[in-house]
Amino acid sequence: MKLLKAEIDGFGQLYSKQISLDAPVIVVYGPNEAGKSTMFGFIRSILFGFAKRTLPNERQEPINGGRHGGRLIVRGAGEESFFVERYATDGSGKLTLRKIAGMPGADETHPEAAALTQVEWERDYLGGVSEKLYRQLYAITLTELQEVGALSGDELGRYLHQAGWDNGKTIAMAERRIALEMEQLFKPRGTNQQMNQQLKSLDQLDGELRKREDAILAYNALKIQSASVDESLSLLEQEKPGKEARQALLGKAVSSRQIWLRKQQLQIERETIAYAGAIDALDEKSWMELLRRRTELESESERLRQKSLLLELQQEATVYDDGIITLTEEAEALLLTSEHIRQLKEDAQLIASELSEHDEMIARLVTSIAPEWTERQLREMHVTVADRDYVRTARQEELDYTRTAERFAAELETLKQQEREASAAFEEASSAAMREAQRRAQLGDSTGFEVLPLARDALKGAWNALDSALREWELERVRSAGAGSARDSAAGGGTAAAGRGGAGLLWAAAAGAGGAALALGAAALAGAGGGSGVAALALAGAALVLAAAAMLRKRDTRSRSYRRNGSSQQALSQMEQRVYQRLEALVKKPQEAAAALLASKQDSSPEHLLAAEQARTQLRAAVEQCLEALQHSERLDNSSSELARRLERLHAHAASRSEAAAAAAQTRQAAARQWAGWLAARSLPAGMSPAAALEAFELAEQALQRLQQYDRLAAKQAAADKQLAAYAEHAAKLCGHLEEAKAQLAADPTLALRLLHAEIRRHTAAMQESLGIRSRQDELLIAQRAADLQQQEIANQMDLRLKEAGLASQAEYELAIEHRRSLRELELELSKLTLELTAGMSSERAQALEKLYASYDEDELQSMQMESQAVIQTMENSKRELLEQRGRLRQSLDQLLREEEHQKLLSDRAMTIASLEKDAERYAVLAVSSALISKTKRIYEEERQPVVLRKASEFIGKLTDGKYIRVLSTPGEPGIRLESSERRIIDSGMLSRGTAEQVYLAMRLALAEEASRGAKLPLMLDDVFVNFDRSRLQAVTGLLSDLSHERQVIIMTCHEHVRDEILSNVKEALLVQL
Amino acid sequence: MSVPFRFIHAADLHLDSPFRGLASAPAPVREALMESTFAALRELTQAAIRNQVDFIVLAGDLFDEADRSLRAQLALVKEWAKLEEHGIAVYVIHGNHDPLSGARAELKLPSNVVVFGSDQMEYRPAYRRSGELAAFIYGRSYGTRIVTENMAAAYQTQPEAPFHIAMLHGNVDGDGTHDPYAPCELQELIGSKGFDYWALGHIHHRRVLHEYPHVVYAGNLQGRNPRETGAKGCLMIDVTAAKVLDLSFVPLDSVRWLERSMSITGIGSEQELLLQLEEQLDLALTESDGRMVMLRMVLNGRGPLHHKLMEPVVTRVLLEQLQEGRALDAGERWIHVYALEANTGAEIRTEELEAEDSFAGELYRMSMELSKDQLKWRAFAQDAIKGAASHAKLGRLLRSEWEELPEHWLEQGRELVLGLLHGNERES
Repeated sequence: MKLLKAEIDGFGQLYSKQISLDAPVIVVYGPNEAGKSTMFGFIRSILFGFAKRTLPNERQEPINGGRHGGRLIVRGAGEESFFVERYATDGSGKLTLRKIAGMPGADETHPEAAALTQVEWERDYLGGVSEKLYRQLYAITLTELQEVGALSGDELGRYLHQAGWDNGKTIAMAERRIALEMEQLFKPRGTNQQMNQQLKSLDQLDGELRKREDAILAYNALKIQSASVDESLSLLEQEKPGKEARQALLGKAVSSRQIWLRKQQLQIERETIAYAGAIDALDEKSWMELLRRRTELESESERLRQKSLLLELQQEATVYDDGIITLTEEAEALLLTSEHIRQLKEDAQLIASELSEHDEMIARLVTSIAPEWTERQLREMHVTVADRDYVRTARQEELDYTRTAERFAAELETLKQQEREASAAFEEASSAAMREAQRRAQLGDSTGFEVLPLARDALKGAWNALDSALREWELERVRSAGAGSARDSAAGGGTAAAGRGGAGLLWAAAAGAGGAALALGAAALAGAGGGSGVAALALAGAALVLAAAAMLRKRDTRSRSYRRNGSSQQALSQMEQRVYQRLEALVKKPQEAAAALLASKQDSSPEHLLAAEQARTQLRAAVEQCLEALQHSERLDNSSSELARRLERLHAHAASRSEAAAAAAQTRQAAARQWAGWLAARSLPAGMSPAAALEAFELAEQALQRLQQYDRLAAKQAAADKQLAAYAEHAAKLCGHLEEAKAQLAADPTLALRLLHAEIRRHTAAMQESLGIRSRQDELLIAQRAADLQQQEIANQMDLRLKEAGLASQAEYELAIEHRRSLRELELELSKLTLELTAGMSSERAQALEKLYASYDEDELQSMQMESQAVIQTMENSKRELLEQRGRLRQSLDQLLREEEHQKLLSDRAMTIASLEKDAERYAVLAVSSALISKTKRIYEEERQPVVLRKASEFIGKLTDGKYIRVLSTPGEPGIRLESSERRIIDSGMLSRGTAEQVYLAMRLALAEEASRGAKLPLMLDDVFVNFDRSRLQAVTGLLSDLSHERQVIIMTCHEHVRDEILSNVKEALLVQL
Repeated sequence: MSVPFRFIHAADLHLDSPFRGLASAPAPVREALMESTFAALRELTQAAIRNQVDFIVLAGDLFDEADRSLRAQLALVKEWAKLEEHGIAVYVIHGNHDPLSGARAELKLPSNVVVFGSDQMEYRPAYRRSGELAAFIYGRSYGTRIVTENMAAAYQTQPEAPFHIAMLHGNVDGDGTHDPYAPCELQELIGSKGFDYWALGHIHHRRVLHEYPHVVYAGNLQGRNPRETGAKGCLMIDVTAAKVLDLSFVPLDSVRWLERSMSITGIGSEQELLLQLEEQLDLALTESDGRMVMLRMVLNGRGPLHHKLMEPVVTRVLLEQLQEGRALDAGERWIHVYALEANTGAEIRTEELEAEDSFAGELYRMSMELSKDQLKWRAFAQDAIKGAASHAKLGRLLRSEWEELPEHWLEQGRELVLGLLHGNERES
């Protein structure tokens, strides 16, 4: 890539500047602050974008105006030219690329314009060089140049790798991480690293394992030990029984020596009484039996003798009288009746009390019949059926009489009551009639019109006559008045005509109404008296009066209008006269009434009409009231006369009933007289009623019954008394034989009899006993004889025994028996002792024991026993020890078998080794990884670095005019070294500043060459030659001239000599003066 | 014609063996593991009794430590006594782990047990339980821990035997993962020697090297470390009258070691990863045949989680999460994830990297060259680990690993660096 032209719109201090760069080498010359570095920055900014605002120093906002940015015209590898445009304002510094079709410098632009991303731009046009790399390799200032010198070996290496692959840091990070992990795992001399620690614990485990006893060896040793112990034990077990037996025998000998001695003694004793052995146990037994039986028999005969003596004494004591005994049957027979006698006595008492009771009862009954009655009257009293019937009939009759009398009394009482009530009603009715008459008298005052006291029909007739007279008068008046009014009023013609037309009709109606009203009033009066009737009448009257008044006015008017002449007046007065006449017949003051009624005669004004009407109504009411009162008093008169008639009837009835009652009383008295006669005939009390008589009959019958019972009982009592006397006599006869009984006889013959009977029985018993004693005495005698015989027999047997034993006496025989017993005891003891000595022993041992007793005395035996004891004790002790030892061994064995510690250690060890192996493997992998990185780095350093270094060597050779021929960098060693033409190796640190800078420049140029083989980016050097001398400057310009064939070189300087030197040395160099 | 019979071939009991390769384990797991070899031994006895076998051959390495475990020796005697009660004979040779020179508890072996000596090959007739002669059994124990002579060479059949069973503890055809003790060639065993069945021990992986004659490793009874994965037990062999053999495997292990791998490709979050891991655990449990499971989970593949998994803390936490979710009740079957390994890679397209002119590209190309050239790799690796390998104690302890220089180091290292570079670049 080659820059052809820079067009700066605005960048730092530069603005609107067009700088041609179309040359292989461009020298930008200017004094300080002329804008060289700014231009340097401009080109970088166009290629790689504006710096961030935070770095104003690099961003370089225009200070003299113009748009921030500009464009470069560049030619690519394919000889095509482009505008490369970048403005800070356009899409925040996005790059725009446009192809230029024609000559370089021509403004004609290709229509195609492309906005590229920075990545695309760098990849497609800049050969993948990033800004960072560009700065490091292609845009070099003095500072950057000197960085090369400060590089240590690894850093240089990284630098070098970075030049080829931009992730040196990545590699370093990977290396660091691997190294870190490796260090954590293991360090050859470390202690805390994982594997070192595992090694340590492994050592410990091994140590512990070594320290541990070998289980199998221990087991075997224990087995051997326990075998020997078992052997010793079995040996002991074998020896033990013999020793123990000996010990036991000796012990026995010592303890039983006394027994042995006693045994010897007894044997001697036995010799002396051996003779008794001849008598055997059977002999002894039968001897003893004989002795026993003899003794028995002796005592038996003694007993019998005693008994017979006793019986004789008893016989003497038994006494009795035969005479008394003969009375036995008689006494017993009498005693048998004694019970019956006792019963009789009790009955007699009972009968006596019963008799007295009857007596009392009879007396009471008789007395209740009549006080004067005695038993005689009772016995005479004979009540027949006829008597009873008569009494019952008398009782019935009396009852009938009494009822009749009562009925009459009651009737009379009722009649009297009715009479009283009827007379009271009659009085009330008369007084009511009186009151009515008075009230009627007062009636005229209240109405104003005093009606004459007339009869009802007369009054009615008078009223009707007045009424018709009044009506006629009215008609006449109306007629005259009507003629007058027609004349007065012309306009009233219509009405008059109508009135004329309807006059007949009206009249009929008024008459009808009046009639009806009157009829109504009459009906009301006839119906029911009282206030309501009067009111209705008054109403009807009023209606009538009104109707009449109306008609009267019309008629009056008409009569006035038609007739002016006196004919009408005359008729009217006639009428008036007639009214007056009629009034006279009706009222007491006809003038006043006529005046009131005929008030409308002269003046037919409504007021007068109304007054006349009222007067008429009042009159009519007075008449009606009068009528009503009349009717009422009539009714009252009727009722009082009716009541009077009824009273009369009642008086008559009462008189007839009184007569009947008197007749009844007479009949009754006759009956009473007859009854009294009857009573007297029967000597019954005179006042006794038939009912009492019946009662008396009953009582008398009861008393008679009692009397009969009484008689029967009295007879019974007499019989009993006779029997008792006979009994007492018989008893007295018998009891005469016994004194005690005789004494008792008086008190109670039965008791006396009993005493006698007891005596008799006693005598009988004594006789029986005496007989018994006699028979027993006989028995005893026989027994006595038998006992004597037996005794004799035994004595014979005993003699026989003595003879058999060859002994003289009984005493000797008994001694022999004694000896025999001793012998037996001796023998028993001897055998016991022998048993004690030899119990449970075999015969050999018994013999050995015997031998011991025979050979040794007691002391010797004791000492022998002690010795044996000691031996056995020793054996026991050793056995116990052995057993204990065996127990311990078994325990140890058990422990050994249960041991798990060893296994645990082994397992721990195995686990430790496993972790160690795991970590070691990881370590190995890490080590391999690390080695892989190192080796790759070495490849870089050894295979790719040499190209760089070769170039650098070539360049330094040129720069130093062959003084230095090679640049060296050894992997793993820091810094760059130089080889001089004398094959001397010089470290870059040892070089002069100028030379060092030349070396670094050579490195840079070489790296730049190596790093990007694709796009040849222009190389920009910002015054890096200041420390070069002339010849070196010449050399470097020469070198740059060579390089510029392939790559555009832009050199900025403020030094004239540098400028001139380049311009003179490089023919194609273009000077840009700022 | 011979009689039909049945026998059990077992080897490498390694009784009371401590569990190697397990950095830590909760107590119940630890106990179960420590008990497991004994449990397997008891199972063996039960299997023999249950299946009414006529005899058992044990081809060496009965104890794990040469002369250390008393418990193991007692347990053996106890189980053998049980077999004696059932009339089952036991033929035993000792191997490199339990040579005859080792200390031995003073125990009286039951009468049914025959232990072969170490001086030379011996033979014994073996009978059916009913009393007929079934076969001759040949064998020789290790006298010392290390036997490098070809023992098999001296094995000879006896002509009167109806069937020949040879017991040999050794490395047939030089299995590089096991010590080259009593080395011999398969060809030698199946050649003209005339044995019908070679009952081999020493190699813990069960396999049949040849049939008619059968050359068989029974494998060990119980897996004891992360490398001994899968079902373990003994072989039961039925021999017909016509000498037709029928081998059946009888699993005896109480704890089963398993390894499962899972790719992280496409897994976006730790949560998702954990869920998928749990699924894997459940799968492992269903495959475990009702046994307790010791599981190692290996994550592989390339995925976005790689960077996180590169942090040891992350895998540790994930592992703890997996462990916490599972109860370890004694007596119940359980699953214990004892390791979670991340052999994962960043999301890098290797073909691009191969051509890339970059540090990473350079590194990738260089490491690929190393993995192609074994010698170069060994030199490179030795140089890389020389700091640790030259450490006296560590060097001695881990000599085998240091000497083996497994290539997965290179693979893991490459992935680690590329991952770091990739991740860091992405971050910056």
